[in-house]
Amino acid sequence: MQAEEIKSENLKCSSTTATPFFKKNGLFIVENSDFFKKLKFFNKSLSKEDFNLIYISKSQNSGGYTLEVEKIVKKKSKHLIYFKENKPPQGSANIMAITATYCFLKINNLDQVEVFIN
Amino acid sequence: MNSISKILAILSLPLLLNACGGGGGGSGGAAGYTVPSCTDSGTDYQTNEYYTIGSNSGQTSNQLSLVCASSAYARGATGDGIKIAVMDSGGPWDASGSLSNNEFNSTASDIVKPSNSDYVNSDSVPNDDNGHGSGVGCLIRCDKGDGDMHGIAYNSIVSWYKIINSAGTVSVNDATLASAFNAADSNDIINNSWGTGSVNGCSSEANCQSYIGTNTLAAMKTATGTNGKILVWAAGNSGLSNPSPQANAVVHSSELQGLSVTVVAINATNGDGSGAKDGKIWSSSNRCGTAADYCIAAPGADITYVGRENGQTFYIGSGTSMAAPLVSGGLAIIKQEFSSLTNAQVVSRLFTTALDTGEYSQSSIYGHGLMNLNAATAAVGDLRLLGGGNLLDDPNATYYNLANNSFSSSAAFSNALNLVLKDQTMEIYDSFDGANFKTDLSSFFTSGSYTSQNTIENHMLRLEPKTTKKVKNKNLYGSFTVETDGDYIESSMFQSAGDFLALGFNQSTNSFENAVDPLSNFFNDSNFGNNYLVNPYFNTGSGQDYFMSFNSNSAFGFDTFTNANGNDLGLAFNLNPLSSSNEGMKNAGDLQIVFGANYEQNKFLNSTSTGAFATGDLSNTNFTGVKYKKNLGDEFTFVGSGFAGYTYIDKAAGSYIDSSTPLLTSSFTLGLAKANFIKEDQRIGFFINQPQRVEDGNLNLRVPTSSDRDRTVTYSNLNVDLEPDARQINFDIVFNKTITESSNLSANLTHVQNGDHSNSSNSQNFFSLFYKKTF
Repeated sequence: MQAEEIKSENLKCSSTTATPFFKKNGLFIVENSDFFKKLKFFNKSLSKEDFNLIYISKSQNSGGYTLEVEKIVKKKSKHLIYFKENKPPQGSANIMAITATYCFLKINNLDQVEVFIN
Repeated sequence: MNSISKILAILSLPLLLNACGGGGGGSGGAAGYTVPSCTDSGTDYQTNEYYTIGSNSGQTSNQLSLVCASSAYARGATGDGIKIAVMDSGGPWDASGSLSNNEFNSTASDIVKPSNSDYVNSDSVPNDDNGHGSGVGCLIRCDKGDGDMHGIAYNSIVSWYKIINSAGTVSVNDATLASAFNAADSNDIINNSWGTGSVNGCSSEANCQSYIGTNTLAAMKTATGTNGKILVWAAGNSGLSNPSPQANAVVHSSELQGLSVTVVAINATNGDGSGAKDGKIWSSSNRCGTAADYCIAAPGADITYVGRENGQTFYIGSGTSMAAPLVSGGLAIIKQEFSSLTNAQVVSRLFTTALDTGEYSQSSIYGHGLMNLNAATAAVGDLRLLGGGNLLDDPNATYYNLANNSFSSSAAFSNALNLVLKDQTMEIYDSFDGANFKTDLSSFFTSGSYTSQNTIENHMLRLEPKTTKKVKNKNLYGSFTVETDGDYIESSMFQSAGDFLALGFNQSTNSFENAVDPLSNFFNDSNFGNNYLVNPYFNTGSGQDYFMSFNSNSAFGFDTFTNANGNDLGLAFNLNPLSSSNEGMKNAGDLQIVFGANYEQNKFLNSTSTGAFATGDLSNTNFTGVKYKKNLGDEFTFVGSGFAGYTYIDKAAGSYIDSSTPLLTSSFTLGLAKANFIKEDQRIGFFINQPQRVEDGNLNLRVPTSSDRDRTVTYSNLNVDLEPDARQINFDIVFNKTITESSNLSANLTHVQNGDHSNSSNSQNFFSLFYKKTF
């Protein structure tokens, strides 16, 4: 088992207030029927050559949440991806919209995936 | 406590988590209430852009129709020129400062990035790296006319102040945030779709301040209390019973009250057809709670807007974040529509006109209710006219209810007045708050008309041979004569012994009018501009005029005149230098020279007015006239008369009829009649007549046309040249034949040129035939 580095151009994490994007959340990969719908939601020019995995977290009542990839571990043919969602600071002021965090990733030789969210 | 969720995905069998939806909670509106709706009446504005999220979707969104925005648009209220600050994550620019969203292209000057407005990165390009600020701004003023959605106040001016980072958190310190507020203070309305929404209100000003920050709260209070700006706050999305501390501070800080608006969110119908759609409180919205007096509801769940990316990408989002900009835009609409309102009055009108029945009557949830832009841009109280003052709030100001203001103009100048009044507007004011409404100035005016009396009935009456029953009684003091026509008295007269005194009704005392044989016995004068020998200044047309005449032999005399209302008082001297009744003058004809004066109370030239258009107690007309009649042989009679006068309009205090020059008026008649026309029992007459007309004179209308937020009213002068653009001339041929003692035939051919002294009038031609047989 070994940790795998991911280049910055192969990773894009952000948050959105667009509810259709995160109405269905969780993990999406190329073979998933919703993958391309999610991939092209913000940018119609994106293709599977740019990203081949999307993770969308569950929605929150405000902004201020961030999602990051803690680590990716290759275990035989399976990629173990560890995400960390950061809450806004206690007592902070945030945008008053339903939001969800998400990450687009490109992982070479992607076969099986297991995702962990902290 | 950290929890770990584990998601396993195998390429051919992905396992997905489903979204939990809005989160939060709390109960919605209570069961049993009906959900009312406002009347969205601006059908011309209910376009695809108003409803849809793009031509490809074919799906509708009702965030604008729920608050009846189209009704406001139809009244011209679009937020034009009103400045709104969006304190948020930035606006529709890329990092280089170029606009990066097609929805904000139409009027670049209305999309503002103020200097140093990026408080997160300390630069002048508040580019949006979160997307929230652009979406909020879009809900306010996304372009109209480009085929997709538009903002609620699509002509407003929006400036962005970036205080929120890419994660959606306010990332500037208290002092910097206060600086941002101070800068945003240059706008009219400051939208805040952020806050500490997970905190259930605050219990005191100090408690609120502990969440908001000392400097920030001070800046908020300066914005409202000192500078009178409006703050709009999203209540928060935690389903709590009270709004966030930022939105709840208004309860505890008097400086915020009246100018800080808290907004809760209701369910709308979104573009993909999902959502609760019921118009009730969105389950995740914080409620108005203790801030109910300062709180209002607007659509916030399942709202359509445009994201930050170029290419018109439409999003559907939920949050009080979305409800707040709709209210900010609504306030801009009200503010633009009523230039006389202070910001506090704009907020008061927003609250007062909210839909507050049924479901929305629950003030702890909805505060004042659901925003209703139809009602907010309509009259709340009675509309009324300001009686000449310049200050709307002057306790001594005179106001007239709308229905109590009128001006009924004489046909002598109504044509000229109408031409000037066309397309002129003036202001009237709502008794609720002095909100200024535009109305057509002409709506207060009605035109006198000579030609409108050219009816079949009047022509028939005119031709009907006089069947006056005359009752005459003579005693020691004189004679009493009563003439009746049908069931009413046509005229009556007391003629003193020696002809010294005559008292009469409807000019019956003036012997001249009664002595135009062979005419007077076979047709009646009418009021449609054909009063041949009548003194027009002593004729109100009411049919109820009274005279008292004193005659000193046939050489001179004088008439006094009044009418049934007692608001006319006239005196005329009549000189009769020629009289066919005098020995030696039989061939000279009858000549009467008249001069005199008439005084009219609250009217002039029979033009009556009330309220703000009233005239003074004593308008005066000095006139002169000449009448001449001569029998040419036994069969022809020539008649002629002409009158001219100067009218001086008495100004009433505060009246919109501000000043005038003397009005010169004229009228004349020429006629020739022949008895024994072809046959002995036939008569014919030909007349040319010009009804009374203003020949010269001006009237200045001074009407309120604008008002400012300092509650002062500006008047504009409208100088009206009262001389009509044409001259009405009537051509009359009248024929009468006595068939038997009990039967009579009359005919009349009338041609009216330039009716009512207007060159735009079509010529009128009338032919009347009247046969009467008495059984």
